[in-house]
Amino acid sequence: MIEVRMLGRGGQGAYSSAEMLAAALVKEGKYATCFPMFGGERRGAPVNVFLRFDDKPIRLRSQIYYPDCCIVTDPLLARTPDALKGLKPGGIVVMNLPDMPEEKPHENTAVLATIDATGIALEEIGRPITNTVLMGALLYTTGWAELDSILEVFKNSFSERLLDSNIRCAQRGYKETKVKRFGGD
Amino acid sequence: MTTRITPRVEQVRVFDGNRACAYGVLLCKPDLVSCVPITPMTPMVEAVWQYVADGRLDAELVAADGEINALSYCIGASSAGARTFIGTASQGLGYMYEAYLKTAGNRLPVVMALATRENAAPDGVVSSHQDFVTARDAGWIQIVCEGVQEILDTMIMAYRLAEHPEILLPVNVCFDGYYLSYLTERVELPYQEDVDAFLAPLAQYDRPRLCLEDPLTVPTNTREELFAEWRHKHVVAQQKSKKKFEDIEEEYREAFGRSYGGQIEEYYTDDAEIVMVSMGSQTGAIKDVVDSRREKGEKIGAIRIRLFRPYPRERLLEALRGKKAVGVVDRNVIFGWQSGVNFFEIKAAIQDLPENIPVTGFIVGIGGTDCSLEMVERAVDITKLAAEGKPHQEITWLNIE
Amino acid sequence: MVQYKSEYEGPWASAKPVLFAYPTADWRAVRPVFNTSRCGHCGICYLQCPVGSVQDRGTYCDVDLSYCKGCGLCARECPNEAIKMVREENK
Repeated sequence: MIEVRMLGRGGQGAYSSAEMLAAALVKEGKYATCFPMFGGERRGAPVNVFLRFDDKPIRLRSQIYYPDCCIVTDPLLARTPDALKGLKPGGIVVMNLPDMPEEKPHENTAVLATIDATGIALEEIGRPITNTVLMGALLYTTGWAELDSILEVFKNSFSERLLDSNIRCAQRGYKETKVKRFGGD
Repeated sequence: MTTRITPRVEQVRVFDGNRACAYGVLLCKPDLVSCVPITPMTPMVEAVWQYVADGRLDAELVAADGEINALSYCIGASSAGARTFIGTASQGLGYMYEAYLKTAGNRLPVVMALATRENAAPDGVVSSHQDFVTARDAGWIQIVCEGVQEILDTMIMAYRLAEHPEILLPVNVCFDGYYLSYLTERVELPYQEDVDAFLAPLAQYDRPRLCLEDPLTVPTNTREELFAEWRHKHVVAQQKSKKKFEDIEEEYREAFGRSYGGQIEEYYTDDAEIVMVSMGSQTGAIKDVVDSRREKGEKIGAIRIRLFRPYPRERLLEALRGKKAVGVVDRNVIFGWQSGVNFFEIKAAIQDLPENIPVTGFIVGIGGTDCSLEMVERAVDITKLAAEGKPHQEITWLNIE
Repeated sequence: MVQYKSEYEGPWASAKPVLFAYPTADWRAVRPVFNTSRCGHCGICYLQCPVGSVQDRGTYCDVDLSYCKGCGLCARECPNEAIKMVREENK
């Protein structure tokens, strides 16, 4: 079982993207669960989204304390001390940052992926909704599902007006992610 | 009467608890749907209203101005023979409490979904089991779900149970607010024709209803012996619903391929020395701890209480016979004893066993907090102390001590 | 043993001190830049700001960024186009 924790903001689509990723994984024959925990139920408030997937049914529905992978959807949230709390050794971190940092953001980081998701979202959609860019970035970094699977899910999730721009976001997320591996792990 | 359906799946989708509940409503085709939105079930109300707006569900939609009115519409419609649905949580249940009592007392088969939430005060729009536990003795049947697929399945079984002429009781389908209502999972959707066939046996039954051809009055203003008679019939029907629920679930398993154990689900209890008992979504964490402890050779099992009202006294008695200790994990408090409700009820239920089995109680998840694997591990360790006859704290509040 | 954190028996709390100040400045992705030379001091931005970040300085308006969330209403409503939203810098 793989456990992924996303840190996002209410109204930025972090939970929607986790749902879409869960749908893509289920399409590919896996079991997946995800749920959000809000600080306060309003736009902008930080939200943790907990996603689990496995080849067999998942019955653990607690929050995730020791994630295999952390996704941080907002550059300013990356500075929150608990953003990567509990990351397991060999952990994968995907962050919305314009530049790749020199150092590991957490001692257990084995793979760090960065992408200027805010910039891409502003260019493609006109608003800083970074979730679809980060989905592309995650799939490129981890290969946990095919990009096409999640693009299929987009067709059921987005209106016509938003579908193409979000497809481009996910594709750019897939192509423009920078990945650094930290050796020794 | 068995319905000749063979298990098949129409689609596999990802739904959260609210949407699975709404889809269950769609499949059961109620005549009247009456909901007032309240966190954490608002998306469920919106989904049901969307089904009606899209023409997929042909139901009378009531946008009531308050939960007591919402349930009162259901009482009226159900008294006229209609199938009804309503959903709510904590304060909504509180606001409709007068109607809630009447629904059960009038023996009306209303099905109500509860996305469980803390009762205010203290004010907190957060998860726990407090709402339906507080309302446990109003005479409704209460079923508590562990996962999203179970919510959908239980909605269908609920109508089959409620409308049976030997039962005629309203049913609460309870699922954890936030931890199930907003949790998205893989769900297998049954075919509409199969659900129709599963509910079809109900059509042969006539229940008393308001109509012009045979004027009846309900409720009648009653006293003394007749009042006691109706109360007696009510409590007897509650007890009958235990076996009926298991029969319906067995039929459901044959028809749809899924079942959850009936009144209680037993997980490795046969040779267990210690059993952890709980209800709702946190039971998943408990089962995971059972698995990891068994790998280390510890004889531990889990029980999930699925039918909460009426209480599965007999099944628990059988399941807990010969055990060395029972640890009860409650996501609620009662104010009679300083414990959760299941601690109290299990202590009562196992009185009839010859062994004097120690019971430890744990309060978890109050105020929306998580029930983590670490909390369950602590609970198991304290229960082990009880099994070994060592001193231990009887009740532990796992998130504040 | 349960350790208590509040002095009150019931869910009361003093409203006098600031109990929990949420640093909403962190929420911004874009920030308003006020061009004072174009400001006509009409006060529309001051009235529209949902969090009260826009300040009336007597002869012009500008913004106190400590709570501004970057919603962009001020920029949209300014009749003189004196306010521009720019991408927030990442430090």
